[in-house]
Amino acid sequence: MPNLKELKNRQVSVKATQKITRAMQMVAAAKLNKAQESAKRARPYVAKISNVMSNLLSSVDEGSAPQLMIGNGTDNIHLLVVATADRGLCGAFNTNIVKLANQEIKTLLSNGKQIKILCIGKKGYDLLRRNHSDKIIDFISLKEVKNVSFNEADLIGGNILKRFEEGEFDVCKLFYSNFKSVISQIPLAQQLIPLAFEAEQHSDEASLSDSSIYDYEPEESDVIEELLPLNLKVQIFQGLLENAASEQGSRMSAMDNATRNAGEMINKLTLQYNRTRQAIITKELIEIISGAEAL
Amino acid sequence: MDRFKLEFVTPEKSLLSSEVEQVIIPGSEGEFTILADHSPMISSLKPGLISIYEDSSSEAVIYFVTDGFIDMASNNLTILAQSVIEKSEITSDKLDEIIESFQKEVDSTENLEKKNRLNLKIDNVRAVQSQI
Repeated sequence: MPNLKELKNRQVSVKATQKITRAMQMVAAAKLNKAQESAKRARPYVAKISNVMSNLLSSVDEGSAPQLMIGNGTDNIHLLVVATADRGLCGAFNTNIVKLANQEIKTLLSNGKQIKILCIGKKGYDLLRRNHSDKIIDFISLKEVKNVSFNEADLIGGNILKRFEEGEFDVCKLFYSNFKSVISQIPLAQQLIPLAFEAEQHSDEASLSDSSIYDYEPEESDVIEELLPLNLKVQIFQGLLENAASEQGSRMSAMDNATRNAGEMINKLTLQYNRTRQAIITKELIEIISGAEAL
Repeated sequence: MDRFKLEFVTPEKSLLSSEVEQVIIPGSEGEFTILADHSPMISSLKPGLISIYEDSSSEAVIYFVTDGFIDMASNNLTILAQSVIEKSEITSDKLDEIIESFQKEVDSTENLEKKNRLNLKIDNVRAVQSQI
């Protein structure tokens, strides 16, 4: 027969765990709100930048375009920037991003490309280090950063740009998780260098003719040269914001599940505890009665 | 006078969105003023003061920016700036900090062109510093 004391202890420990998971869920919910808020605030800026970019790029001459836009002609060395969280206990958030990155690594390697990895966030670094420790060239932790600001994106973007200028890689891709809703975050790979220019398709004739009458100060090519690095940083910034929201959303649903599971377990344990207690009492009664009968 | 729509955004938030009459911009090629019906233009910014006049009688709203872009098209002016300081918060110390960070960048780069560009920016910040 299970020990009553033991059952009680287990009940207490599961209750303590439930308290922790519930607190984490609520903290994640509050942080998610904040993250969504800052993502919302960044949206006008991001939209405007891509608007200006599409105006500019639709009129740019392919031959003289800077390397950031059209690449440096080769695609032998790929830099994968894998952005994950610094903390765990957030469901499959980190693993999903790393899984996508691993798939990409596999296909690139089988195509005979060289790979370098830049990790943002400790969890992704830990996961990738197992199999690809020789490929990781840098690791940036955002643990000290409470709310992602443009400064971080500026720093990371500067780091990547410097490596590109020094010819360390030819193609750069950013891996992050897109926040769709609290229960759905989709890991994504976004090409940063050379610029994957989607807007080109839906920039219709009207905006084309619009852009041709723009005045540029300084020269158009100088403006593009200044705007491209900025655009890269903005894309990273947006990725980081999406990631922050995804992390909290993922943690929130993971902790919600954990709280529910703990509740179920507590119910089961309580039932078992009561049954055992009852059985012990019955047994004692039988002993007393049969003892009395024997007299 | 005619007015036009101004949107002033930074990566962190949308600072301003209103109808204005006149905006003075520290363009990288020199300061200029934008009025309604200005021809479409894109310009980069140098460190300097942006003055926004809602109408001719009102006082200017002033911001300090270090870098960014403006996009003027069909009476919609967009100012994109990475770091913005409101006028009441512009102090000599803060500008010193900015100069210092630029100086660090100058020291860390080998690229001569980049160095020149950064030095120019430092001069621009100094000019603002002497104004206030």
